[in-house]
Amino acid sequence: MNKYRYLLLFFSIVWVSNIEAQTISLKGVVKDSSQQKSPLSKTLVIATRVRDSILLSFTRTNLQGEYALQNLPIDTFQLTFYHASSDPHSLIVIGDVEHRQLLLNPIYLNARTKQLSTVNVNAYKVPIYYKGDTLVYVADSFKVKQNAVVEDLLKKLPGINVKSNGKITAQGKEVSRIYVDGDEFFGSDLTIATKNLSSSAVENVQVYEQQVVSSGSETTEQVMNLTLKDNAKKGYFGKVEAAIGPNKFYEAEALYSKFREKEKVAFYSLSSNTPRSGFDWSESDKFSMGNQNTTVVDDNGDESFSYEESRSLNGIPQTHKGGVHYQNNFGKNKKSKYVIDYTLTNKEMISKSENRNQYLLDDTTYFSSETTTNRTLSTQHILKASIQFQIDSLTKLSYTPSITKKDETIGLKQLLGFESSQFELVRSNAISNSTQTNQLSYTHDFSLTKEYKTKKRISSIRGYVFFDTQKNEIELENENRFLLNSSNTVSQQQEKNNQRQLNYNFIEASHYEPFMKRMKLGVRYQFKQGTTSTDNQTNDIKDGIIIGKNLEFSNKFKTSNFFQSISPAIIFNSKSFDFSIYPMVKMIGNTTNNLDNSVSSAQNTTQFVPFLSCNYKHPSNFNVNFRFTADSKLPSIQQIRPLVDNTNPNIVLQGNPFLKPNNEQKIDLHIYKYSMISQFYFYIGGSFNIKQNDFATFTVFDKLGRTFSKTINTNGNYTVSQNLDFNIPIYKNHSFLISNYFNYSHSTNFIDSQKVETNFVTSSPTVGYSFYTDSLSYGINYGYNFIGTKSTISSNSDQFVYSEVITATAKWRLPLKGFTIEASLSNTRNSKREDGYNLNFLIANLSLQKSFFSTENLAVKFEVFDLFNQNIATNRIVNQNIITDNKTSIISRYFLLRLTYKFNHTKTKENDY
Amino acid sequence: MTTKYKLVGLAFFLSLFCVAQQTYGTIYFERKTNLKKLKQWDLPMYKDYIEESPTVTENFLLQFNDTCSFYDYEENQSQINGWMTTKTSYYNSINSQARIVKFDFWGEEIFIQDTTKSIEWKITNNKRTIMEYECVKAIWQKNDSTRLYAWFTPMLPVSIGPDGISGLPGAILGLAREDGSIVYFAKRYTNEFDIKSIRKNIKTNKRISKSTFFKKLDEKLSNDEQGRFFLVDIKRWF
Repeated sequence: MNKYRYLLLFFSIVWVSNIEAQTISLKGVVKDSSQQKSPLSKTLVIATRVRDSILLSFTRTNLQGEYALQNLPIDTFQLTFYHASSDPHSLIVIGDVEHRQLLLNPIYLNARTKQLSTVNVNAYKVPIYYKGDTLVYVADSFKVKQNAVVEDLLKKLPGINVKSNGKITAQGKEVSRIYVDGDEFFGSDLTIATKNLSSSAVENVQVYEQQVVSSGSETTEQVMNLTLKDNAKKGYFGKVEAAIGPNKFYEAEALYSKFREKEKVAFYSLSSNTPRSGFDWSESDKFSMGNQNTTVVDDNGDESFSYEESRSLNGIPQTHKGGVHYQNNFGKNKKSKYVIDYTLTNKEMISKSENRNQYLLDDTTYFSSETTTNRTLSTQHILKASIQFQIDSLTKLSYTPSITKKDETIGLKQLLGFESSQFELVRSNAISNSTQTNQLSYTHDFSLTKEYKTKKRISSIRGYVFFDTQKNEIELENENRFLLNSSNTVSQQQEKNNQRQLNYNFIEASHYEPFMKRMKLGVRYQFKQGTTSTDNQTNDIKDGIIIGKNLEFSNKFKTSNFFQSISPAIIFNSKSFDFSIYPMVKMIGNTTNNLDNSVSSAQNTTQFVPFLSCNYKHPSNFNVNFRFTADSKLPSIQQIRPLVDNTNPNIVLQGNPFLKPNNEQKIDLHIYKYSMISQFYFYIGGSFNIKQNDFATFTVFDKLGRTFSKTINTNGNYTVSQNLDFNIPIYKNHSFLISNYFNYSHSTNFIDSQKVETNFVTSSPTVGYSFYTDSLSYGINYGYNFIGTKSTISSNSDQFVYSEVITATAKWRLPLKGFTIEASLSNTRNSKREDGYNLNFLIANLSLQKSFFSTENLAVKFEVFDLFNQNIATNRIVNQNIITDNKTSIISRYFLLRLTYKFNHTKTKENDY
Repeated sequence: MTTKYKLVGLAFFLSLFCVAQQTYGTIYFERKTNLKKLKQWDLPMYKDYIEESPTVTENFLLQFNDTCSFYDYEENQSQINGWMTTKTSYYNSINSQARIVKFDFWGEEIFIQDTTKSIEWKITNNKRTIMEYECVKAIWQKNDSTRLYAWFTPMLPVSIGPDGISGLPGAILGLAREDGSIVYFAKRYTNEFDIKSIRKNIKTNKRISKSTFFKKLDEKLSNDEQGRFFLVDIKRWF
């Protein structure tokens, strides 16, 4: 360290008058110390203030070795000179108000004489330090015996004294309070925390003074806060809510979650007889309800995503639901994880609906009016487990088995009146249908993902095995009374025992390799194989006695199907443009076997079903996305099995074992822009979908107005849809909204052997205005929805109906502390529908809430739903040549007084999502 | 340790810089963000996301010569929870102390004309090696609760650094918040410098001043709780 020298520079100073106040400048030259005394360019010169090490200025020497530093404060600072080939050199400059421009003597740097070895400085944590006014002890720096408690640790800390009675002094003052992570630990007894908490859980011990007001005077008290390590952290949060109202309306729910390190457990339950029939998204996410979002495998073995709705608006519901969630990590570094979810749901739904049907035929039009009462009771158990193994840092394996058991009873009573084109009642029909269904399904889902050290190289394999058994018992009573000429009655009574067994196996494997800077090349293979067996037996009954098997409605059937597809993949990603291409070849086929007559058939086909996606992104957040998708699908089991199904005696269905797979091409275009600053956004999206060998319906109407349908293949069906959404900011928090959804479809079906083409159009333009601030928000929307149909079967099919909906919402947090008012109004006007269905109704909901405590965790809310008692559900359905206007009775006016209490271990405000 | 010894130590460590000095090239940085330590994500709704993958590792590159530098997010990265971190680019003109901040504002790129951030650095006598460069530790006490550590090397004699942090007599190769929430480390140096790509990246007709940008943000976001949350998060980058 002898190279370091203090050089006090009071010589070679040139005084220049009239320079900037309170600063000094200095300049000089750096040379090597050889005989030539050559200037050293690119020498780094750093000025650092001595008293606090603040970097004041720095520069590098020019080719002549000269340097100059300006505007340095008048202070004592160190100048340090560094050059790549020389030893460093330092000197101290003591600033002086009378010498503000300094010319330093030349600095001669010695050539580096030896290479110094690397010096390693190991970082360590200072065991005691001040952070502001808080004295902090780092707990792990003080050794304590195994299984020591906090009290043992405190005894080791300098400046802290623990007396025999448990009292603690810190810096000579008695500690009045002990907090754990800023919170009191089970009341005011200090020893509860110090004698029970493990010292190994403590990260820091903090000591500080806290001001308290006692008997009107302000004093300070000594406080100790124990901050816990991450792995010692634990806590809980939850919510209890109950609401009651006149007419025995109620809602109740309780949710609780507890966590400790990676371990988490949650319980939840809900009971209600209002439209509130499930947990909303925020609750299900917060309390980790793993069975709210489920992947459902349908009869064809295809997966789809299912989310349970939180509100039921199809009738009068009653819901009881409960569940538990548990998860924990295990293995090395606790990187692997397992999760268990169980949910029990019990639901009842009573609905009463009225329909008015128009049957449009080429030579006539007839009508029916129907009243349907339906009571559905269901109980469902879902048990799902998931294990995720982190085999190594790049390999992850997961296995998710699940089991679902569902029992459902449906009681349906239907009264129908069939009318001629002259509105003359020709037949009345009463149907009673009681169905008991028991379903049990298992799924085993697994995946393995392997990444590599080479970036973007990835391999994955994923698959599932699905089993499903379903038993179905139906009691059917059907009574027809013919009223046109002579009044005679024909009755039918049947019982049906149906069984179905499904098994599907699916596997998908893929591998991707990086190619050039922005590309990936890959290959993907998929294989699915499935078998379905059905056994449908129908017995005719007379006077309560089985009189024989009805062969027309009975059948045993088995089908096996498969598909496999292989595709190379080309993926390109850049900042502004992405594309991916999958030129996929798909082999698809099935074998059907009618076990009643041993007739079987088989078909196989190979299709080219490419996928292409392009995305352009402009830096202004303007995006254009184009996608082309082709696919081919097999018909469903219901469409191919050779069974006549008269579960609804007026709509009899028959399978077609000779159906071919369909082929579909779809083009999607999405354009959107979003600006967070201006709050402006727009979205315009459209799609065009055309199908070959589409699944259409061949329907025959009999003289009684009943339909007999089977599925056939047809060509030329297409759909065009468009979506539009604009948000235009007007001023500050005011916005103007425009949106529209448009759909046009062209479909071909066969009615009484005649080819019928139907065009169906819907559109729903909406305009609105909204305003939003913390305390007040409101908005108003006007929507105009129209439905138009036109069919080649009859001129009567040219129909156009519309509805207008005006909605207004407002929320105001009153200046009175804790009070909030919310209101919503919705006025619907239906026009040009069948008589009795042009309904106009106004729905008004109001609520007043008062929150308590500074945390607002306790709230009382008074709610009125449908103040004017006008709520009803209406819609129009167009199915081939049948146009149906529907209205369903749902819960109308009700009042609730709601009490909500939210809590957590930190005693702070418990936020909803 | 007295000031005297600190100064001696500093001189000692800096004596190790004895290789050729590069004044242009590209430094590749790796940024690790510990989401558990970022206050803005400390909400119940994000808890499961963060538990799933608490650390986001991202790559950035810093191109520089002796007159300018450009710090940018490296293309083609997709990380779990990558949406929870900000990818801001900085163009710094070293001589004029001017900079352009290219801010990714929910997908919209906003170009903000700004001046180089003035930072009061404390130089320490600690050193470490990053890549093959000996670095000196400097400390910036940003405010009462935030302290940053920077490791700079005089051997890359340009005052540059990741995420718009600079002002030291050499390139910053390591940067960390004291709480470890965000840590940057240089992983690779190449002598590539592509001024054309830099110009292309900062080319825009819509450049606004920092004050105008903040004024617009205040107008749009300060009226509700979530907006104010975003405001705090955005302003910390300037």
